Amino acid sequence: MPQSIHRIEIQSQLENLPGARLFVRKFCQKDPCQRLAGEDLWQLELAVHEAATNIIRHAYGNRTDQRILIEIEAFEERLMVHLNHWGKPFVQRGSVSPPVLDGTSKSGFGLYLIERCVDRVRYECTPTGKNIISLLKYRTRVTPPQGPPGRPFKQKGDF
Amino acid sequence: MNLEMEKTGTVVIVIMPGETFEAAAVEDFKHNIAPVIEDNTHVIFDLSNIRFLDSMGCGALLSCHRKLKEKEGKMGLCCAQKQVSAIFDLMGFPQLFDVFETREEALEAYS
Repeated sequence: MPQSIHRIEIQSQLENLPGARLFVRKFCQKDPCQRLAGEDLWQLELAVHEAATNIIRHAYGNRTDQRILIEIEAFEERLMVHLNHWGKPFVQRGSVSPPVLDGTSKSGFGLYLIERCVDRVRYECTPTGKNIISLLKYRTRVTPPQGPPGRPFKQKGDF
Repeated sequence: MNLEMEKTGTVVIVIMPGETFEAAAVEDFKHNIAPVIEDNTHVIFDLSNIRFLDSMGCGALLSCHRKLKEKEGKMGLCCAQKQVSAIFDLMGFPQLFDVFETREEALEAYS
């Protein structure tokens, strides 16, 4: 069971993303468990920002009147952030390749940053139409499993 | 987005405004930077004001780099704060761009 849960709901507008980052930062600063700070904190903020950006741009197709519900759960050894949306679901990929930096690629950078900034990423679709992007960040650095950094889990039980 | 610029010889320095360079500002940036890229060959972006950069901001910088490279120009970044530098490292930018600690270093290299 998480030791605390906080939620915020934002509308699907890019202008609301600073508020989402502030929500993550304030939660982590008040977190009664071992606080996430420094590099780990901004990495979690960036991952939440990138996931929310993808929801707005791709799941909602830039519609600005849709909902994104962000939940943070604090556990003793980790933080979990769930971004809930009701748009087009994302397909779980096995791994995300490093970005092509020759200027020809205009997408995929966000997914790569997400995977680099958190320890696990999971995409889930529910029968009710709600889709969830879950980000896991350990409070202390862990050695990543074999394979590319941030290799996504494929099973719910892995969380 | 108003881009403040300083020109020294053939080098133009673009001082990025605001504290963040993120998705919400990228379209405006592209609109404003297009004539700068069109009219110049050596461009340095001064990022000293920027505390937060996201993937869309990175993509916009990459696009500028590609356009300058196409006309045999150069693009550099300078004065990045710690978090922005860390994102550059995650993205692999130092392998692609000239990244300078200070504006003076950048100008010296490009002049």
